[in-house]
Amino acid sequence: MSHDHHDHDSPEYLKKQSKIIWIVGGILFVATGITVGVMDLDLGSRSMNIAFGMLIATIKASLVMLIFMHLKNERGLIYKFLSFTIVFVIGLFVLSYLGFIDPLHSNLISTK
Amino acid sequence: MEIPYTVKARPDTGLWNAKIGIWLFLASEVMLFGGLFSSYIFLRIAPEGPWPVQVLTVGWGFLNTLVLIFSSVTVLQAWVALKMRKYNHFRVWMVLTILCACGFMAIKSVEYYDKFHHYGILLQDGSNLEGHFPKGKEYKIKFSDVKTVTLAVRPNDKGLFGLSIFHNGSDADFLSYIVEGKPEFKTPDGTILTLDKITLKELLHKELGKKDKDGKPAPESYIKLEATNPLRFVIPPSKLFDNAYNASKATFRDSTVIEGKLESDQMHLECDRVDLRRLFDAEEKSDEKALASVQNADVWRILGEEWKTKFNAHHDKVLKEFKDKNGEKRNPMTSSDYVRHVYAMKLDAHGSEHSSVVPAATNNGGHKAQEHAPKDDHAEHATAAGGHGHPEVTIEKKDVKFYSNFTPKYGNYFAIYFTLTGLHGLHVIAGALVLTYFLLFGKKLYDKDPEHMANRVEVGGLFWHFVDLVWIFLFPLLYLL
Amino acid sequence: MSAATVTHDHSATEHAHEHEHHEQSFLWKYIFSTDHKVIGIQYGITSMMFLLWGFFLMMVMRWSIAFPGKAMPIIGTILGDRWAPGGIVSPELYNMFGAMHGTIMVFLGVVPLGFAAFGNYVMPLQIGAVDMAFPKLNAWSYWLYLFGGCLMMVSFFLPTGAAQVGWTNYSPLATTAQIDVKNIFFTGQTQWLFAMIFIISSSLLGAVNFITTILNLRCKGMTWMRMSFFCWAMLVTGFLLLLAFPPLEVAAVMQLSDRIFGSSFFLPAGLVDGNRHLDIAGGGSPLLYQHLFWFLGHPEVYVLILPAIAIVAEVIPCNIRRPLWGHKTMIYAALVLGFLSFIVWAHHMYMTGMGPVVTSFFQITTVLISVPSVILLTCLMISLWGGSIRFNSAMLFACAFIPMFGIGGLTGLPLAFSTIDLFLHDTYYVIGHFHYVVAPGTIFGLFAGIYHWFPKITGRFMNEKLGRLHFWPSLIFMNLLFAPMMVQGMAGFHRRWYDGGKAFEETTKVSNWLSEGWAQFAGVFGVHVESNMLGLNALMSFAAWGLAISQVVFIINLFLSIKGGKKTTSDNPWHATTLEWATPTPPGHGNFLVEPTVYRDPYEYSVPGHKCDYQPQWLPEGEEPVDKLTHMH
Ligand code: HEM
Ligand SMILES: [Cu+2]
Repeated sequence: MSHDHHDHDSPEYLKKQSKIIWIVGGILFVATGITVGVMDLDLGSRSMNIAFGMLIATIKASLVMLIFMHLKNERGLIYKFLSFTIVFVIGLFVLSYLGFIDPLHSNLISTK
Repeated sequence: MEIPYTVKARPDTGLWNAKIGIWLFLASEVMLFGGLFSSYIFLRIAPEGPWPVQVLTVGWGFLNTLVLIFSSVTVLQAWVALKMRKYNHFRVWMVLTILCACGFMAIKSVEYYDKFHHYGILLQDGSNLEGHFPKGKEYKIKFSDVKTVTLAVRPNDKGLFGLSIFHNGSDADFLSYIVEGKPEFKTPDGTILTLDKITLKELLHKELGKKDKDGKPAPESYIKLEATNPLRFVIPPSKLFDNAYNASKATFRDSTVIEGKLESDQMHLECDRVDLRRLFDAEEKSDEKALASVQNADVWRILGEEWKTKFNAHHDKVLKEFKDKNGEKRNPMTSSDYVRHVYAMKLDAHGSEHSSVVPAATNNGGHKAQEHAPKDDHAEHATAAGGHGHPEVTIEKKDVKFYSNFTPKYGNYFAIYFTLTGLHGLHVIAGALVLTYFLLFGKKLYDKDPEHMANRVEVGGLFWHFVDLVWIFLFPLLYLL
Repeated sequence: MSAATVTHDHSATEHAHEHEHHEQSFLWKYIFSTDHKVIGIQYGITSMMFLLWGFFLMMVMRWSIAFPGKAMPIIGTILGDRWAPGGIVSPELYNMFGAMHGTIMVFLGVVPLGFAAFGNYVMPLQIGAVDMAFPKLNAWSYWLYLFGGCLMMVSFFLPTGAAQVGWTNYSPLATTAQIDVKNIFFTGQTQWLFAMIFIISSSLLGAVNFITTILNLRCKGMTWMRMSFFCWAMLVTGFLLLLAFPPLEVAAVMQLSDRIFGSSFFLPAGLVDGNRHLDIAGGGSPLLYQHLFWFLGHPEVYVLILPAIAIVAEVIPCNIRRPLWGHKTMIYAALVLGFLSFIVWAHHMYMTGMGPVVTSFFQITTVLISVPSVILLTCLMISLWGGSIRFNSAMLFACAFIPMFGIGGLTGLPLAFSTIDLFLHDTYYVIGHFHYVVAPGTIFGLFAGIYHWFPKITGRFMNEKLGRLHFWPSLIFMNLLFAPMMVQGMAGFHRRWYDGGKAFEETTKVSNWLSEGWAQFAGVFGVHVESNMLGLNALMSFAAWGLAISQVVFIINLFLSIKGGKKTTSDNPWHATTLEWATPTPPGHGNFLVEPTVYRDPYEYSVPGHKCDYQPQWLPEGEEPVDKLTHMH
């Protein structure tokens, strides 16, 4: 933010920013509508619906992160520790998932 | 002493303190919700019984999503206003944001309230009935002809060093469930006592003070009280230990035991859905077999044979529709939507026709619209049609394997639903409180250092967007998929 | 002082501020203070009290193990009839003390002492900051921690007693224990969860504060590689806490829901408790709890050890008058360690029936993580080479740390392999392994820190004679206590026997030179001890009580030295190089009299070509340190 500090504080920039926020808000509204609209589309199986729904949600979330949370012009430091966080979350997901369903076992290992 | 970089960014990191702080905090929040989402996955991989899909009111969730997104926009506008040094605009946007937060919580409360009053009853054979307890006919356990009440006294239930900040053993709670008869008892030493909170306390205290022959308090003792007249109890089940009663005896959570006669033990339910999916294997691939296995389900005994006929017609219709749409080749049992639409059938005045068009559960909240629908002629056999146009049935408690309202107890879907949305709700409240603080007490700081104030709002906003972001995932995950 | 050092700009408003502080009442200055040093001391005192209490619990347990069924003198009667009928430690009491010993030591003792107390006091000084980035938040974390700790303590005085199912609090046992009560809130198990939620929140806030401070409040010239290893370790530890604790918070919330709302996150269907079918929906997974717990659990063990290593890494260069060998290597090792510690957690779960793929993965990562651990240790050891060692008490503890932590780490390696772990899991071997790391390891490191920084905090030295009297018995008793555990563990002794294994005939059939030798040795003093493995129980218990007595020396030393210790004559009595020694003694609010500037690496001892054998970080080029430093009192 501070690299071109003056730009980011000027009224023109802020006015533009305000407009962008409204537009992104609008996009998010529409995307929410789409999410609801496609929930019962027959995509072959429920897993496909889930994947699709999560895809839209991820896109929405990215918009919120990049525009609303100004991550798009944020400093590298934040990216650094956010990326570690993401890696660890994925680690938590994948590794404990594998703890339940091991690729070398044909069936679900009894979790109960 | 002044801490540097509270307002201006540090040149080499390019960030001011609170900006780093909030992002770090959000990173840990990502882990928090990450843990919850991964739990969601594991619970869904191997659920006990079918995983509920689309059992919430989509409309409410949709509305709440919009409310949160809108509030995200307004909180940003508030920040922009501060940046442009328009304090009054800032105030307006902030008020809007906080109103949105209140609206969100209000909607959430309505949804929660709805769930608390919706019940599911799993029968011994695995078939499941869902619905509401009719007004005034909530499930209670009734004991009549109660002649003895045994109080438990536990003088030795103490913490370390013999110190205790809380007591186990009987209290006066049971007195409030006597509906007939006078609480007059004969104590072991022969006196007649009318019990209320005070006399009961005295009685317990006397017993508590007793010592055994070594001069130590006995570990546990009982006071057996004989009622002078037969008493009748009506007890909400939550007051007893889980299922801790039989035909002649019931144990309260405070260990008080009453002995008498269990009256007929029945539940009444305005049934709005019947779910037969546990009657066949989750991997069952033959529709005929599945259909055959539900023909003798316990529910038909309770609902009446007509509903079975309706169900079979409903099945044929949905199957035909499926085949029309997908052709003969595709096995309907591979579609979990098909299985759900057929085997989890919605019951209402319009019977099967309705649910075959609309996915069984989507209308879950829709029954409100039918509140005044005319009673269905066909529903007569099921005792009487309920006030919501749903058949009202009577279920013997002995036929019930497990029942609960739609709270975390009902199953892991609701458990994770309440945990996720509950924690999310706490975040909304926390965020709203912080924003309210900015709104009410921000002027002083603004006059002193408007940029500092703008930074604060930015930080509050970042948190707020994160709350919004979590909801963006929660909504499809819990409401739609 | 060189001209390059910018003097502090005392503007008018700041003077006003300073004035306010002078008039603060005792309450605001010492109790509700937001000064990082006061908070550090608060953390220190509180956590040491918890350590003492945790130690006491352990001593009672050791009685039950050594002399099962025998009445414990005095303490047995004080504990009360419910828990120790006739003075005999009941199994219930043993379980309760066992669970609370672990919980208190780990979450209320060592982490708050190592990370929060030392980190709070030393880290801002070492990076040349005036305070933490968020002083109020800092105070909040302390109070949350204290509140959580008090909740934990209160649970001892509930009719059910405190939690009883181990520090790991595994479901389903943790969920079904203590549920047949009038009010589920007032049970030890429930309070444990509530307390943990507070403690975790406190740690999270602390971590945010630490990291921000290190990132943003380093003084002029304090580049990344000029930062001491201690601060680096704090940074890594901060990230471990920040990212590993939330999943445990989740687990705690879910277990609370299971207990209070009757959900079944961690409970399978058809669960029977005693002879009663539980009224639950089922469908949950006990393994899920273990995953969430150990996702924290393993990073947590590095949270325990890193501050200790870091303290040792400060004490050693200062007392050998040589630079820390491989400062950079150590930093990278710590970073790698931090990263890897997030992906080794399931080595605690080899016995849960995970499949071969994950098991292999976790074996590999576990073996990998020992590499950076070894690097850290080796760097410390090589540093010693050729130094002229000043054996003060701090240095003694630091030196002992190295082999002790080494033993702890090496005994971890066999556990890393699932096939060996099959036999060693849940035996005393595991207990021996991690106690070597945390007791003579971490705790020694923390002692070293206390002896080292005491002069800065109080302006007085601790008594060296008493220090030695503290050190040598501690070292001996620690080893007598933990080494036999490995032996017993390999003989198959389970870690949770309240009678030390007496109930099993098998335990009397194994013996070796250690147990036989001990029996003979005891026989010399007329004490009859069985010559089999069971006999070792008494050895370890005596060692534990001996250890307790040696700690009394430390406590006496601490109190005597606060008021009567030898006064320091300089602000830098050890002639150290890092910035905390540039402050007045004790440092006032705001720490530095002049804004510090850093000119060099942190461990410039015995740099060739200089008059003095140390070049403090704040010393400008071309100047030599004067003992009386940059300020007058
Ligand atoms: C050098 C590398 C290390 C390796 C390879 C290692 C390996 C292991 C393994 C495989 C276990 C599980 C044993 C079992 O339950 O069967 C274990 C347990 C444990 N380790 Fe380590 N460890 C290492 C270092 C450490 C350090 C540095 C600490 C702490 C400061 C530590 C603390 C613990 C604790 C507390 C447990 C037991 C937890 C419990 O079950 O209650 N370990 N270790
Ligand atoms: Cu581990």
